[in-house]
Amino acid sequence: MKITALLVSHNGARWLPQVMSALEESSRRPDTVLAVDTGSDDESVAILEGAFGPGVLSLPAETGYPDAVRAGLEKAAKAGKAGADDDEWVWLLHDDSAPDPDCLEVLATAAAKAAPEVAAVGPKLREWPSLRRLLEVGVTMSGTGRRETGLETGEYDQGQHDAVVPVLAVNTAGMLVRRRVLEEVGLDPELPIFANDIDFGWRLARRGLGVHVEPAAVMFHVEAAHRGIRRGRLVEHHHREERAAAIYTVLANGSRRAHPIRMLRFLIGGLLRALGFLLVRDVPRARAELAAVEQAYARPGRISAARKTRRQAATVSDAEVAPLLAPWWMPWRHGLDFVTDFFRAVRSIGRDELDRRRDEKGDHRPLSARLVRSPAAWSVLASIVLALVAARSLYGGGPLHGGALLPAPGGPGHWWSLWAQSWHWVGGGTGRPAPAYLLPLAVIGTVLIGKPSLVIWFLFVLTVPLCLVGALRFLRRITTNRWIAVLGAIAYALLPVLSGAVAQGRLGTVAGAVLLPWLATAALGLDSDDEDRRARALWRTALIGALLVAFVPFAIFPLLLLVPLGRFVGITKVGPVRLAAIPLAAILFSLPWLPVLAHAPGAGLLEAGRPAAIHVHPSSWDLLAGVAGGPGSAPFWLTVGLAAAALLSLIRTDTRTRVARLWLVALGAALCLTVLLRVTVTLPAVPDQFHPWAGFWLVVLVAAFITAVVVAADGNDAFRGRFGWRQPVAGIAAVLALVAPVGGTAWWLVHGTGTPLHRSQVHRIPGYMAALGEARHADATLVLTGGPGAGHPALTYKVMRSGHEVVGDDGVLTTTPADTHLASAVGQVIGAESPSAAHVLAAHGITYVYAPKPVSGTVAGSFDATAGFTTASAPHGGRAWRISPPANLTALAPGGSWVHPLLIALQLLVLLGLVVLAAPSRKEMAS
Amino acid sequence: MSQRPTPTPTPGRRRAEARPPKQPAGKPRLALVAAPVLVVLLAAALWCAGTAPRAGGLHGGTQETSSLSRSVSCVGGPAGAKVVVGRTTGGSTGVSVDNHPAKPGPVKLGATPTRVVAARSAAATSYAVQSASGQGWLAAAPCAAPQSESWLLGAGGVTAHHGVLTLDNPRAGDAVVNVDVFGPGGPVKVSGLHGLRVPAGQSLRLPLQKVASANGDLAVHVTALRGLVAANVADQWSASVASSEIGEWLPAQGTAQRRLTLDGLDDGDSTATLLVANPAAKTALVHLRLIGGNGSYAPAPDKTYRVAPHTLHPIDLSGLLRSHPSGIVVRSQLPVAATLRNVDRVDEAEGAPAQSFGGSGVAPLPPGTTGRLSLVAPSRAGKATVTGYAKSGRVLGRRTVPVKAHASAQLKLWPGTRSVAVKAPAPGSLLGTVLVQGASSTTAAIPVRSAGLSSDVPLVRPGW
Repeated sequence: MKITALLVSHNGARWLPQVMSALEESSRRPDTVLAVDTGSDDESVAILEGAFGPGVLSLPAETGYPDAVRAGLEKAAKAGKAGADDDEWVWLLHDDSAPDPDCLEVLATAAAKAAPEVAAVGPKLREWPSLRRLLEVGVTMSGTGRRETGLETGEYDQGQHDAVVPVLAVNTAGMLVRRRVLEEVGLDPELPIFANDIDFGWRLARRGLGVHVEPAAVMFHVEAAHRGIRRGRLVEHHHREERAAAIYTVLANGSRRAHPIRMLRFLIGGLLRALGFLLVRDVPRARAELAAVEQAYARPGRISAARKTRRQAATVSDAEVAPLLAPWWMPWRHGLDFVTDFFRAVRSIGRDELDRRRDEKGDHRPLSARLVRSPAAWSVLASIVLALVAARSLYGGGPLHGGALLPAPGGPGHWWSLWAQSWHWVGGGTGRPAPAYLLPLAVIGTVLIGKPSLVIWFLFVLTVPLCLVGALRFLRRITTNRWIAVLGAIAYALLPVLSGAVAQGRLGTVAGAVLLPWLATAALGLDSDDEDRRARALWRTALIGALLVAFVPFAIFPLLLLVPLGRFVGITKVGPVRLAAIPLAAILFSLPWLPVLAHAPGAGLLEAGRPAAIHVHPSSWDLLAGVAGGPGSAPFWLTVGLAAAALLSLIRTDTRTRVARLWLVALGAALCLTVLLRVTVTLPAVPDQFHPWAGFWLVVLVAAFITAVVVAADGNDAFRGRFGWRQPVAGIAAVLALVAPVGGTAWWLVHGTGTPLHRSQVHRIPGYMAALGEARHADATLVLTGGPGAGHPALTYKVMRSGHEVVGDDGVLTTTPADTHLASAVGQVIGAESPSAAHVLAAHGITYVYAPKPVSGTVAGSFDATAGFTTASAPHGGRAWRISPPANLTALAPGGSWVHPLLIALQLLVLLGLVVLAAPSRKEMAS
Repeated sequence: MSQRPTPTPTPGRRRAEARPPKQPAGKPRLALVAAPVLVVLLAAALWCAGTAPRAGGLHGGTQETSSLSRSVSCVGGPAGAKVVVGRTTGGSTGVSVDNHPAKPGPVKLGATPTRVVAARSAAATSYAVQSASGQGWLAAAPCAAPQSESWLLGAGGVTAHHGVLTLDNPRAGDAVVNVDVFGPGGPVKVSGLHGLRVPAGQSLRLPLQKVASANGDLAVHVTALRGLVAANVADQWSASVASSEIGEWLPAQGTAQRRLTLDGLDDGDSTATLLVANPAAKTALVHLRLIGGNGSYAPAPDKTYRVAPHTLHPIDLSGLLRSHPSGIVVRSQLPVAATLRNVDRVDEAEGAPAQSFGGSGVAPLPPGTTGRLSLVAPSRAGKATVTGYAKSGRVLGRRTVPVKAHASAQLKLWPGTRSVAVKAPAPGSLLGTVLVQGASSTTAAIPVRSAGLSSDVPLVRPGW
């Protein structure tokens, strides 16, 4: 047996010395060594010549591995170093692969014993530099073009795969191949770097030849090209080249029957993979994926020609080769593995974070032990229990609603529909866009097993725990004392309850209070010295800010102010241009909804929820204490101590600057309160003028007080020095600050969640009318309330196309002007003016008129006495009439803006983009 | 010994970045100066926010339909009864009488109701007042609008009185009504007055002495089970066998209420009686407060009047009027209906509870009469703008009348006034009555009602 070693190098000077040494150490030396260099611009040639003497074949830099091998063989043939003898073998080597001393000997022994149809024998590949991790014990390819080794990632070699088995292919690094076969079949020059080994093995298999792996032979391989650490023109875009090679290999060698499907699969799969890479912020990989697809499909003739040559040379069918390929389910398994890896990575990140904190504190106890002794963990657990107790009146009995909160829809489809469609069959029908907060609600509602009611339940019943978690995270970042952080977080978490926002069903305030600490935590990162952390903080702030603005549109103004003032007040190291991304993202996220401001500018001052549902008139003391007044709000003295403690916090000199900054935030919130409580809002659908609810700004105001107290209390050594004026002041401040978390918790427990938030069945109209309306848009019900003798002198009307309105409908209806034709038609009935009123109502898709108890006699009598209205059944005390003319929708012109689909697509892209950009950086990105 | 490749160092797991150092103390001096400024500014902002005026009322963009077509029914009874139809702006364009365009001048009323309809364009400024007069008496009342419920107090059901209840259904659908009659001794037995059908476009005349014969004053309660009817009671009686008949229309009022304000007490030598009807099955405990120019006050002696269930109870006010109040507030724990009766010699002036009116109210005056406007502010003080119109629509005068809270204000109307318009500072903030005076100091009370023929036609607006 004669063995010729063929070593191809390309800029491999960093590995070649060790490769040379390994060859020197080999127990079985090759009979001849051929060295080929493909245009290295480092010391590779010198090293090779130093080892093997002059005569290294130098080729241009763009020469691929197949061409280099072919040229080497040709040179050897010319030099008479080798002949095409059946017992002559070629040992292919890379400049980044070092053989174990016994490698060649074992391979040669296996080759000598091999049957004639065995064309190549390959070693087991281990990772270099770890030397223990397995890389390959033979290799094959899946239908998606993935290189399959059958090994787990990072699997250590413990001999568990040491069985001599036929494989589809072995890596060219260390492959011992019959020279005659190599010259006849050859490596495909269309695969200059990647996948040429698999392609070679696949073609051998189609010719009825075999490839064996000999696990006793070990080769250490850096996989420099695959890992992107080899310099060179051919591997400049190694992701692209590798993927393009995989696609080419599968398409060129795959079975004829599956070929059309594979063509389509690679096209669609390529796009999806590119999207996936974009979602994990790996733009180069996404670009490479697209380029690879383009590269494979741009020249279809190349694949056709390759398939033709392979078909002509084949001696066995595709079916005989199939057992050597990866099974069909392998990609699915990889998908499952991906999901598993994802959650494992999340767990790993969490563990890293815990480890980091533990290292900082020098606390090396187990997690469970730390949790048991963690006041934060206990406070969160206690808050959940207390929240469930406080919500004792909210178990069972229908959907959660009341005050400014409408019931949740039956499924998230309603929210998706409102968000996506440009025309809504809500009320009389409207083309006004839905508020931006419906997108996050719809996403969460879909995730929560399609139960929007759970979203609302979580938000309003678990408000305190949700706020507590965020506040703990924020306050732990600004204080070293965990007890102070816990007390501050409790005080903050109680704010939505004590202010009355929860009891009054204020969705915007509750959502804003949950988001606010996370926004503040993200914004802390803007001051980081690390560029990557700063960038992620920027996008996280933008993401949370966008969500906040969706629920509280007026919050855009502080975000806008952050751009010019952020650096000035010293809270960020990010420049104004990049900071502008924060308000810009918020504006883009709310873009589909923004056109309504042209019709109803006042809507920009409202929070999510039903406006003008409850009118509150807080006093200045209420505002200072963060109490909005109205039903369900706590007495102001419970929380006003926080403001007093914040005032005393200004006394401490070393934290005064930071506390003053927080007073600046409080002043901003107070100014927002002033604007909102001074301005009178008019909306097209709301007859009354009203002051917008400003609950979120109360939360911001008191949150600034709490943070000021926490900052001043952190490291306060007032009690350690000699007795003086500092001790009484610090004591008073502590007592004042403690009243809110302690007293507030007690008040919350005794008072409960409070009314008007409650659970009950909602019956705005009789059930049969609701069922008809939900089945067909043209079977709506006109609901009449008020009128002389029915509690209100004015008669109000409302079109209901379902049983009741739900969360989100209010956002659409708020900005929809009333249909004057309906008012006119109702007036015609009341005024006995025209017999055509029934036809007008019918043309608006109204089938029934319903007046709930108490019914105005004038109204009831008018409809009784008007042609076209016949009495229908109604609940006790109410009256109903069926409209005789068949209902239709001729008076309505359903249709919305054509721009809307573009805007919601943009909104979705902004959300996805922000999520991707805000996600933690992968290792290589961060580095 | 074989030489294996040496592992090269690779980046390990990312080292968690150390927490950024605490921020430096910054600029303490600047903070020392800024802190009090911030505190003061914040206090000022919160004071400004906490003292913001309350928002309220409809905004201009509300699609509210108030100018509906309206109709009323006028019916004769007293001798020489006639109806005067017009518009405060002059003329009678847009107003029809029995389907004919209204003509200037009074229209004689007969036993069959005369229907006055104002089109949308004219509804807000139209009026129709029925009046009659004789020797020593004057009767005047707004024509009745179709309603679902009407209370008419003070009718006589005995031989001396010829009270006639007229139910008119001007609409396109049949109406079904219940008529109940209460007297001082309790419910008056009536037959065939429940489920009474009033065909579309027709009317019914029911002589009370036949259908509800009883002594004393009667309260007639008309409830429409279906449709709407305009209910009128025209009462006629003779003071003595030799004297001629005296006539009066009983003022109609809507649903019984717990608090009623009756305005327009005559300040002459008349005697006054308050008629209170209790439709409930329990005894109503009635308290009175008198309204003067500076506020309301309890009468002396202050007592509680017990009104038995299903009865009409007369309360003699003669002893309570020494302080010359202009109105009276009736409060009860149960809904009651009430009417104020001024009697000056033979002339009766019946006054129903005043109704709050919308942004502006109108009261017509019968021809040949003068008037005095009495305004009451039931809750908050306000200023009313009063405009007097001549028959031609010419403005005779305009005055701003301040009214104290819970008090009344009087304004003598300009001579020749045929209609008076009152603009209230806010809807429902004022109540008003015009005491009209005819020849020989005869008087009648005409309520100020929301502009238009009927105050019972509601505003129509979109709901929220």
